[in-house]
Amino acid sequence: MLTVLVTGLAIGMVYGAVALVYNVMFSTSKVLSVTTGHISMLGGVFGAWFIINLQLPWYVGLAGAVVVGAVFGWLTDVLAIRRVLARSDEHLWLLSTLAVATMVQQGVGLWWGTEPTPFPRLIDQAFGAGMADQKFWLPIILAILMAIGLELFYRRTLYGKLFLAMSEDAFAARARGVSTDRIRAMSYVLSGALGGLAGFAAGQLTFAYFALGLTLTLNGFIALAVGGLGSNIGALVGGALLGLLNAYATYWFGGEYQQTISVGLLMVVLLLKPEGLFGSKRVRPV
Amino acid sequence: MNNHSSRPDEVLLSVRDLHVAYGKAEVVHGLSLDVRAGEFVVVLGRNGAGKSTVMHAISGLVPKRSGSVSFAGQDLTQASPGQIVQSGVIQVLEGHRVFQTLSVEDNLMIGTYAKSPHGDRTKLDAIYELFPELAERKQQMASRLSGGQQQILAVAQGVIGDPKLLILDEPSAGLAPMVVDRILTVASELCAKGLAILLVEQLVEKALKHAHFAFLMETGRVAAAASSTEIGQGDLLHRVFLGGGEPLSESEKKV
Amino acid sequence: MNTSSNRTRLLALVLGICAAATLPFWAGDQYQLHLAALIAVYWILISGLNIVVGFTGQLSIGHVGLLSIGAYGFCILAGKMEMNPYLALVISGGLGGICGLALGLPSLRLPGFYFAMATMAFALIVNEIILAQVDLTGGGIGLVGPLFTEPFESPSGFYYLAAILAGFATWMTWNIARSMWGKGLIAIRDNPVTAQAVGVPVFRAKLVAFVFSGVLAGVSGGLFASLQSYITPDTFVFDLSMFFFVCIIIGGRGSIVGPFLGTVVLTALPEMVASLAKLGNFFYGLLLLIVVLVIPEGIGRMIQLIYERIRPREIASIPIQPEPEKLHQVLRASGQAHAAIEVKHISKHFGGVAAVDDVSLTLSPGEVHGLIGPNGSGKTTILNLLSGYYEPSAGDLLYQNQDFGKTTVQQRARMGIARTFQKPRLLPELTVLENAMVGAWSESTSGFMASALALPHVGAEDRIVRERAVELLQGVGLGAVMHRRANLLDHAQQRFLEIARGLALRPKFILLDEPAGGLTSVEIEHLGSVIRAISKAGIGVLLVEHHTDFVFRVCDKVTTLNVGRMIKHGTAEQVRHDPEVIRVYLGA
Repeated sequence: MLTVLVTGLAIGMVYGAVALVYNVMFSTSKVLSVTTGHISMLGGVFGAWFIINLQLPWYVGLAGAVVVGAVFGWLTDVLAIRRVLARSDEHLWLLSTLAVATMVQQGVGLWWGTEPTPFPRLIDQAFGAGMADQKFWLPIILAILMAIGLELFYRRTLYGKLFLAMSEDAFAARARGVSTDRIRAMSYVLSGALGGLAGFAAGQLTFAYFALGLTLTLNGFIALAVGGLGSNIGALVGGALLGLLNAYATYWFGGEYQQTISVGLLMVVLLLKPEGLFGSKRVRPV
Repeated sequence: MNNHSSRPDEVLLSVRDLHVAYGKAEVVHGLSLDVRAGEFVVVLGRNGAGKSTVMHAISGLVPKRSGSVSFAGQDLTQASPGQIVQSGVIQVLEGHRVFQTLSVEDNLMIGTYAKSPHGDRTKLDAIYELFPELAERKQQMASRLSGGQQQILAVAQGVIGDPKLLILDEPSAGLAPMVVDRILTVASELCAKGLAILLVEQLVEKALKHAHFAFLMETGRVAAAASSTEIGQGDLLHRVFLGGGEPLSESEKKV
Repeated sequence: MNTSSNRTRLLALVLGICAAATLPFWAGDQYQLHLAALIAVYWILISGLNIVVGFTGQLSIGHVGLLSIGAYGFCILAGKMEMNPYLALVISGGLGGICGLALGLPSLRLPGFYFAMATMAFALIVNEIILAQVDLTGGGIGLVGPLFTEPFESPSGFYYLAAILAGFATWMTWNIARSMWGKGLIAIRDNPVTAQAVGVPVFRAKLVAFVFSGVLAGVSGGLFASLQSYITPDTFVFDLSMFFFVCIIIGGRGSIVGPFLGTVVLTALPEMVASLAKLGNFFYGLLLLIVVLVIPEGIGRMIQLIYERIRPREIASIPIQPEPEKLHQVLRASGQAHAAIEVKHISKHFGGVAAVDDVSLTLSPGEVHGLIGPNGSGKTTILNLLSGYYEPSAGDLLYQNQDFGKTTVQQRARMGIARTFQKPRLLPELTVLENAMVGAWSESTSGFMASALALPHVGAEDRIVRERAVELLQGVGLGAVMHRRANLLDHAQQRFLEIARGLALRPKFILLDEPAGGLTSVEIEHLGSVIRAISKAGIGVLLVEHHTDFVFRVCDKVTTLNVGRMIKHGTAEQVRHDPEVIRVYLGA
């Protein structure tokens, strides 16, 4: 039973980490990008490629995953967001990020292959470690560290405050001389790096798998919406709830209706508290 | 009587033949104005005359269709908002637009960002001296301040950036008269110390008490320009704001 | 709208129909016949999805789920349960509609990204359920797709069945596009505030369109299963949803022909260019990205732009020339109001701030009532309270002794309250005439399906609305630019168009929000004559304005506000010379 708890928490923290990435991108651009889950997928896939195929040590793989994530986050901004936000047409970014996400997923499928590949062990540990297995604890610890790091970033650094300022009133930020294009690009690079890191840490749990992109985008979004858009605590709580619900449902009823149950959770929360558990009514979703 | 000659000689801000359009609709039609060193200039006019649009265009916040903006000899027509702030032109937007989710001190720190990307704490003391009501509330979230205090914070946010020209866009909107007086008095004091002020206001008489020179805008153009004493005399303003009588004659429209 | 381009279109249409009708004879081989049938089957779904995505602006990326419901429904009914295949097809359509309702009800109220995710989740859920219910659906093994009976059993026979149904679907969506419903849906897409203001029931309209697309998707699914002869859950991958979606976006919003061509090209292309087929979804993603970045309005618009660059038409600036007498006649024919709107001690608070504090005024039929005051005095708030975008915190809004303060925006439109906006809210892709016609939405009673089937009374109603809109446009002075796209209008023309749209509602009262903003003195004169014609016809006009000179010239009564309170009320002369008003405006 405890294994179920740990499994659920672990996968839930992966979703929570994706929700954190959503939050960072949203904070400066008011955009929810379809590419969010794909960034983590890339972290896992490239991490596996660096370590398995290129035979590099795990910390190089880690750095590589972070760099790949950061680059891809930046690409998302440059390709899908920058020119699109300048136009007045709302929701065009939904199409552009959907397009980039599709290209990335298919691209990886064509290059890496469509079979899920087991992710290499990062720390020496026997495979029968059960609950203490690193594949569970790496994502959990990482997600918590990410959330703490982001809180410190927003509260203690000027750049964090600039993110918040931009999120609230981009026009006023520009009047203060803030280059909103640059700050937004920064936030996408940061969120990309975090996403890549999360994907790398989650690799042993999720395997390196091209189709993970869409799954993480959707489930990360459910974690985000349940927890509340704009709240980092909400992201982790929403993720944990989702992961635990899935794990226990699978344990008791078999794993056939995972997606249905997840969406069921989402619908229930949206009906009862549309802004999410920790969300504020002031933050308006798009 | 032409009072232009009593203006200082050194031109700080020069706006020439400015045209601004929103999509297909042009709202500023070839406007020219200037601000001299140490001057307190006010731009008057009805709503819809385009005053805020002109200010936004000067600060690079909206694109210009044509025309030029220069400051202290530097051409700012194509400059980004960041470059314009760095060159010393700082605008306080209409409607006390401070960042509600940040504290008073954080708001002020953002005001220093343009010149110091990591923030400049040394500037805070001078501001707290100038605005003691902000010193009392350093860590309070801006959303908890009253409307008047937020407007003062907005002005402080502008002043902390060490401007050479401070643009104030309708600081009085929705505020009690005492607060408006305070803000305009502070602006006058700063002006006396050498800061040029460009004020947009609807409260004509209050503004003219502090200003040296006034531009009167109508439908995207300058309809009249004169010293504040001259504009205050006669029924020019009455006719423009409350109508009645003939439209302004050519001699009354000095561009 | 010139007749030679109409004739070209008609010719193209006739040729197209002939080509489609004779296709089995000139198509190269069985494979190409199969392809043509596939295009027809896909188009049935895509034409319905087009109404949802292209017209209503709801970005649904989960329609593959509805396709698979229709397909599995058909296979189970006609195959396992050996039902008559035509009946099974009808029921499959019904299933698609029911599932569309089930999906649409909770999701259509969600904001854009949330809605898209919900539809994507739906597709994944359908797949999950199909995999899980092995007894019913054969799980991973799948089901056989039954054939139809003669004459539609053979490949060419099936092609004709698919083509006929596709033609029917095209005809229905074409009718919707041309009808008031089409304009209403476009209003939801491009300017929901406007849609509300003219009386469109936004959520219900979205839902109806969505259910309609569900029915078509269900029918398409049944045909699809038969065509493929065997279906498994793997047949219905998310990629297919992307494909449908891209066909529409590439073809262009608000068009029927564009997405159709998009479907033809995108279905045929991977078959003809093998390397593209290998790239699969990557190609669709790339195409979508290019379209969004370069030509977001689709290939149809791009062709139009290229055409305009080759043969540029001078968009002459035509001055506004109102015909006040004609306007008066047109408006008079609608009959007038006999009672006034009473605003009684209205207050509106936002947080702790009173935007409006104990204001009372009377808006009488046939009277022009001005509302003036400095910035932040509450004028626009009063307008929003009267038109239904805000609810009063205290006080009553009375008409014929009934309090309408809690009614919706759409109900106010039906009551006969029209309004314009401070920044004109037009539908940029429709013509001036179509924009004006949208104003008459609340008087047209034709239902969605009636419009789809082009029942006779729909056409008659449409004609009446159109003719009246033409006269209104001539009356306000836009007769010469009636067929111009609204995004080509200059500022003054936009303002006058909003007024014409408001008048199309057959209002008893019209609320004008700073209509003189940005107008030249000549245009303001025209505005004055238009307003006088409106009031002479018995309509009550509330004029919110900063141009005080204009207000005093045109208004019978004037109310002055300051900081949410009323400070003076009376005739124009009384208010103009009131010392308090002067003080407030010149600011002591």
